[in-house]
Amino acid sequence: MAVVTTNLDDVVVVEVPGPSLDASNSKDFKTEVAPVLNSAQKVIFDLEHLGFVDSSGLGSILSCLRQLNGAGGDLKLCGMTKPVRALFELVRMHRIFEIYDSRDEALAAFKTPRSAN
Amino acid sequence: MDPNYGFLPYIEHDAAAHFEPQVRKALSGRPAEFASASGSALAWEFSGVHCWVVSSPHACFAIEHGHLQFHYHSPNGDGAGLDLRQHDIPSVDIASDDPEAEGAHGGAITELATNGDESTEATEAKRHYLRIPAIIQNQLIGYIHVCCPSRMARSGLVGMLGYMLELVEKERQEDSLLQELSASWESLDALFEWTVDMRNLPNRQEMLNRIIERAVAVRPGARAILWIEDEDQLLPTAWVADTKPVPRSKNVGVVGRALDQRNSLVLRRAGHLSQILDTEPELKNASSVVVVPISTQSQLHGALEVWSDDDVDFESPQLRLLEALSMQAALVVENDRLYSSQMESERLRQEVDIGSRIQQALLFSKVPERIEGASLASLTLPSQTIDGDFYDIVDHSPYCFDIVVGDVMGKGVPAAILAAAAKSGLFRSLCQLMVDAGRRDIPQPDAIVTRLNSALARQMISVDSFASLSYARFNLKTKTVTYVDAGHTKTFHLRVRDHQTFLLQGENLPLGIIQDEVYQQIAHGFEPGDIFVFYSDGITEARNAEGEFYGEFRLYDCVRKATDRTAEGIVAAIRQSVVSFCGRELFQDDLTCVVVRIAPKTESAVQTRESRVFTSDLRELSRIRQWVNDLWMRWAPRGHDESSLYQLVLAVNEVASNVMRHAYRGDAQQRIRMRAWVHQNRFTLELAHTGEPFDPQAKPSPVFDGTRDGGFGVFIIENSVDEIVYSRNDGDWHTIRIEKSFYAAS
Repeated sequence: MAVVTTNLDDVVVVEVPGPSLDASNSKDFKTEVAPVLNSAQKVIFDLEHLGFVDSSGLGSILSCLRQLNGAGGDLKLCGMTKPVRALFELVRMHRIFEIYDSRDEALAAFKTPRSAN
Repeated sequence: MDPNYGFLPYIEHDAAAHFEPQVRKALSGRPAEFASASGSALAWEFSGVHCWVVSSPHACFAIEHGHLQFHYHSPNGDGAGLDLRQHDIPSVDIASDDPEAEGAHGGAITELATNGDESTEATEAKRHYLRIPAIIQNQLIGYIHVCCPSRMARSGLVGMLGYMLELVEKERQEDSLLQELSASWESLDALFEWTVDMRNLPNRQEMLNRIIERAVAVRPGARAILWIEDEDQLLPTAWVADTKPVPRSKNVGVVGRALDQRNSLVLRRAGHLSQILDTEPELKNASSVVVVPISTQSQLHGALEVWSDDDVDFESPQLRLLEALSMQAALVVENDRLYSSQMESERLRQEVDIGSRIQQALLFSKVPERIEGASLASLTLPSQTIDGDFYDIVDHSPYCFDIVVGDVMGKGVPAAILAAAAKSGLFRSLCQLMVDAGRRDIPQPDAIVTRLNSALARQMISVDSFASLSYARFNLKTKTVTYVDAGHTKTFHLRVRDHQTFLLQGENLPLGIIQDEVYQQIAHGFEPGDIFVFYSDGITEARNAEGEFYGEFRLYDCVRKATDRTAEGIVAAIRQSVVSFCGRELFQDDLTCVVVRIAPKTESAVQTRESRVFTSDLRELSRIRQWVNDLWMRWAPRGHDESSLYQLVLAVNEVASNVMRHAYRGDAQQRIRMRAWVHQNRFTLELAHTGEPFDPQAKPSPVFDGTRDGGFGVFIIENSVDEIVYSRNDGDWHTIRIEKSFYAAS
């Protein structure tokens, strides 16, 4: 699994590879993304290629968030497809993550900090 | 004319007074002198018999044989004067007779005595004294005593008397007819005048004053009081009396008696007036009294009391006139009452009209015609006064809908307006919560109700009102109802499978009691086919004629007997049950109820059945998902709900993933057998494995605060499908069956 990253100023955008993030590849994903999390504070996961995420995939994203938060950084999500959003809402993770429709909106949110919601 | 022959109309009892003027009248129109007769005596000669009739000692009349001429003999005039007292008539002891016996048999002529001798030459010397019953209209009114010279003359004499009586009777009839006519005329006249008065007099008091004026005019010197009943008192409403009358109890005195008997009462001096008590001081010197109740067919309004100090009785025409006046008074009072009650009912009618328009337009929502997986129906029987009942149904996704049922304390337009305010407040709270949170999903019931209460409490407290409310959110996927009970009637849930009853009840106060009350929501599961009944207390507190409440248990019973019906049918059964219990269609309170019937699980035809075997390699997960996805896309109805597909795929993925990781402990070489049945309305998927059975309940509950990565699997499965069943088949196969319904797209 190859993770494509883009650096925009101090923000790193990670394109999570598709088509799915499930029990079969969530461990790989965590391994792939670990260097990014170690080097960056502000990270955006762009999920637009992901048509499916299961509880394992969700767990791996959640662990990324906790790792970043633990280091004083932050993770924002964008480009969520409908099935993925359905999962996040089902397990109420849309309250935990900051979720934006597009990469630009997520970037803008990093530029102009606002009260967490 | 020889006055020695004659008969004496010795008429007993009071009938004499009645008979006398009739005799006089019978003779009027005959020779003029009869009419001027001051007494009542009558005599005639027939077949040589001289007859006379007398009831007064000063006059007599004679009839000459052949011509039936009447002659007047002045009492003190010519020498032939017939002063009976000077005549030699044997005294007859009438009292010793038995008039009853004779009267009862129509009377018979009795020979009282004979004096003289048959052989005597002088005819005068031979006299037969006869007593002949005077019968008018089959009624014995007295006896006529006759003396006649011979028995031979008797038959002629009787015939003559018969003729006389006939004449008298005819006169009497004419007289009474005339009296009647004149009385009717007076009444008609009075009615006519009253009708004219009605148009000219401005109010009830003036009309009653006019009636009392007319009552005392019935007889000179009469006084009168018009009593009108007010609760248990009689109020003097109009009067012509020496002293001003004061209110008194309606049960005392002669007025009280007349009211009690609902009949006119005529009291005369003789004997009757001793009954008058001190409670009726106006009658202290009265000699005759008439009390006529004032009543209509339906109601007793009071009495017209008329009295006179003169020692003369009220006669029947006068009584009739007083009765006519009392009828007029009744009309005045009744009209007045009807007018005011009409005004009142008009005001009420308008209020009810406005109130029911508010209800229909704002308070009762249209029940969605179709919600997949459930049928809904509502019953609203508005009462004569408007209550603050309201309800609403919001279907915010194809498998999720909210029901709100509420009841604002109070009645009429204010309650209806407050209910409308509560309802609009509900939606404002809902919108506000969604805007505040910046989210697209609908807020939880507890948040909505808490918000609504804090928004409304101040206003409600200021108008001394409050509202009970039940807010329930049905999720057909998770088969859960999440509800908030704000002091409302307990919602009834019937689990149809085993007829178990649940009452959805919380511990929160109604809205508008405490501003910062925090409302709690409670989750409660249900099954296909279950029935929920939301209702207002108007239903359970509807009473029958005996004052008995309809009550919760009759309601529950009624629903238990209607489990084979749709929501519509259950509502009809409830309506029927309440109406037949109460025996009426109109109620004191609004009857409001909303019935939810969860669709029973129908065994619809299987469209297709497929099966495939996968290996227990985690990399097979995407193939499994693809297989399910393809099946769905091929068989689900057009316009299906996408999220149902996502949930099914997710659930199957989680089950398979669990089997691979836990049942097979990561051994990727094992087999997973999958079978699918596609019904018309749902999917059934069965996953079988030969690994270790695992108990999903043993898994820790997930935490949703982001502090743990795992533990979501079981939660995801249970919240994504309608049903999941773990079972052990024959052999080594363990199966996990999943049911998922199709829902139309929202």
